[in-house]
Amino acid sequence: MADSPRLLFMIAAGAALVVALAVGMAALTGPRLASSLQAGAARAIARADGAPVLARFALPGGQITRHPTLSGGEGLDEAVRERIARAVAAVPGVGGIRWADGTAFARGAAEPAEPLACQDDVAALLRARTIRFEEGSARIDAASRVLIDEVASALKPCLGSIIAVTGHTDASGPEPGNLALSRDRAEAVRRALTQRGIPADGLRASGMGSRAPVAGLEPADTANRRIEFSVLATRPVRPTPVDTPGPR
Amino acid sequence: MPYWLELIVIALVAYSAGLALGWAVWARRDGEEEGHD
Repeated sequence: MADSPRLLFMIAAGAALVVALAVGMAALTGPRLASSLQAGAARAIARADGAPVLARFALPGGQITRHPTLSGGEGLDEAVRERIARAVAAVPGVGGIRWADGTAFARGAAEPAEPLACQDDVAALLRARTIRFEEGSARIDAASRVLIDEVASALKPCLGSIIAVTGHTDASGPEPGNLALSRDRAEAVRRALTQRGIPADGLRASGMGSRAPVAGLEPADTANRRIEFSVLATRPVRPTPVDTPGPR
Repeated sequence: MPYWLELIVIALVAYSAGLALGWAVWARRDGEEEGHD
């Protein structure tokens, strides 16, 4: 056993060498891989008639990834989005797909939304109480976390449906800021629900800013700050080939 | 997941598998040699 420290050192040195090699290879092959995947994805999107959609093979920090983020599909309906995601996923070398918004309201998904019991349950929960956020921020107020737990439990019977999480603000402050804040808040709620076991693929977060005040309220009324939930489609969501866990 | 992290994970998994295999072969050969003594 006298050799143990030496052996451990050699194993660690080997591991460090392997890591260094991997980083070097990534730097060497990454840019070419990204551009070839980019070209393949662009061809696949064109073949799937998904013209406005762009596939980006870089993380927000600019690092290269095999898991593209699709953007520009906000106006497309769910079937087209799925077709595009499948086409891009079929490009050799491409990993899991995610949509940039996670969000985009799937407009005109073929079947009309059929209210489910869970939607009523959520509406009942939110009638009496509101998900509150810290002032001017998308951080969920600590007191509202219990309410999020309850909403997550109420949404569980709706698993397999597409559930829209929509953020609204009041009309105080400039609208671009309101829009971004409402979107961030909806996204925060979506993330919180995902952490509570609601599959990210079934949740769409979007923000309306102050465009849709509560009926009967002045646009500037602070009671317009709210998060709404609605069931968009009751058909089961067929998963697109996503191999990375986490929010889409 | 960034591409460099994927490569590191794959490389480390391969390295560990190589180590485990090497260890197993070495231990077996060692056992056999002890048996002959």
